[in-house]
Amino acid sequence: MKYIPHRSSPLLLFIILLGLWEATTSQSPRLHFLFAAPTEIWASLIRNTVNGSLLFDALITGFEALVGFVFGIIFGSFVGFILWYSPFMSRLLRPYLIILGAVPIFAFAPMIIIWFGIGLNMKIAMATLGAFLVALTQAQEGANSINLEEFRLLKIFGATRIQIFQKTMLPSLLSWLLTSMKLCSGFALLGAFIGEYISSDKGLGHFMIRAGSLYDMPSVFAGSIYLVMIALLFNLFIDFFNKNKEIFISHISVGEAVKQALKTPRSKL
Amino acid sequence: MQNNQSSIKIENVYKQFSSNKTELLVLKNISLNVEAGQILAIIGKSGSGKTTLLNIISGLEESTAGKVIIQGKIGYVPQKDLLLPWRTLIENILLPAEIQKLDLKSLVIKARKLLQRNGLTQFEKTYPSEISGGMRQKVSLIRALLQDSNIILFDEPFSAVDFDARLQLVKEVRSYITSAKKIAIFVTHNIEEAIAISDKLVVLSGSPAQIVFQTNIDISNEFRDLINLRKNVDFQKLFEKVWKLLGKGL
Repeated sequence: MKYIPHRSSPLLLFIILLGLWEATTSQSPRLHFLFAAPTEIWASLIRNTVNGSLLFDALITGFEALVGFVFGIIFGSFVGFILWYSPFMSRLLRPYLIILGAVPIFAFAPMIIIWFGIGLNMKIAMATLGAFLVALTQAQEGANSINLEEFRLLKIFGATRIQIFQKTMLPSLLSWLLTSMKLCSGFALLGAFIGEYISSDKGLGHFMIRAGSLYDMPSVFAGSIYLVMIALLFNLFIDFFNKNKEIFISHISVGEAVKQALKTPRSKL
Repeated sequence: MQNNQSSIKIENVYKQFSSNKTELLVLKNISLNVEAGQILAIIGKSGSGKTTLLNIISGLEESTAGKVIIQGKIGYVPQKDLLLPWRTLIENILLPAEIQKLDLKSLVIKARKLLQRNGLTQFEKTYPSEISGGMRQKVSLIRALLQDSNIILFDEPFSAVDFDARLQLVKEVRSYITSAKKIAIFVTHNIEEAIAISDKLVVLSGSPAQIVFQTNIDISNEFRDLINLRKNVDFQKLFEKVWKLLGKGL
């Protein structure tokens, strides 16, 4: 019989690993310097949260990533849809997009600094670029997955182009986009973090690079914990949307007249 | 009254697809005539041009030559149910009516009656992904029936449902079409299904596809289901003939 771990097993493993980590770092000064002790990381986390510095930096990073995520999704989906709709544009731009997708975001940083400076806009631009490339590919894939049979069916029903777009295309694209939002959020966060890492006076990237240059390993780990928490928050938010995907998309696809008609009491049966 | 006026007349229809380099003749000299209350089954192998013929009848494609005269409103039951995943069952059923801006309030009552008759009342607010394939196909059928079309086109509608569901659906469709004096064109590659459901049978074969055989089906209603049909001698003879025509041999 296959052994299935209990639900609490990951937590147990975490506690064991923490114990081992604490024990090892307390025995070896070299390891203590490189990895810091979990108790010290906890202390740094509490201290920097209470004095507000970590919270402030996390808010900045979260804001940059969120704005970049939204811009990236909007622009990326729009361009992805245009490329799907127009084979001419797709053929024209395809080589450039392949090159753009193959180069790491980091490589664009010098140009982005020149264009946007070193302030908040640069980090938002980095986050946007990260999410844009993913959203573009995903939107194109999503558009390719649209069932053309549905178009045929709606045409037989007598639907206009606008009705076909509203009833099948837009919901289909949104459905795909909601599924790919997790990937986009990760890249937006990465873009914002890289932007801060290169040049900034606030944000988690700045907090961590400052702590790292002072060999303050507990604070570096504390910053990473906040970064993980931002990623988890994004995931929770996106999961909520995904779980209720049908309900959100149905608001777009189902017209007000149908909604009103469905309020007709059942007693009329 | 309106139902009795509906008819389909197809005379010497040809369909050719042309691209830059090639020209492909898909349909050759197709002539058909279907009156109200009749079910015409079109049988042929996959890729024999059955769906192209349906597209021409539904107006999605134009014939290259020949005459197509359609009198009546067209409904359509596709091979895959094509229920939109983000609409509940009843919202899917109301989709054609919503597009055509019909009186939705009276149609909701009718839709609920049809759902009740098919044992689907409790699934009204369910999304398609939560029900079985057979149930989804029933919903697709209800969607076509609700439009009150005079002509209903069926494009291999039961190919994805299990035998029990198919048994029931064949009976229900035949009973509905004949009693409501509608016209149905039923495209399939299943010989038994075609004979059980139709009043007229047309066999499409060859490349380009042409009608190689057509006949009226005079089998009494007691044999008109997929189980009893096998006991009928006329069915057995017809089955063999169609089987040979489709190049399957016995």
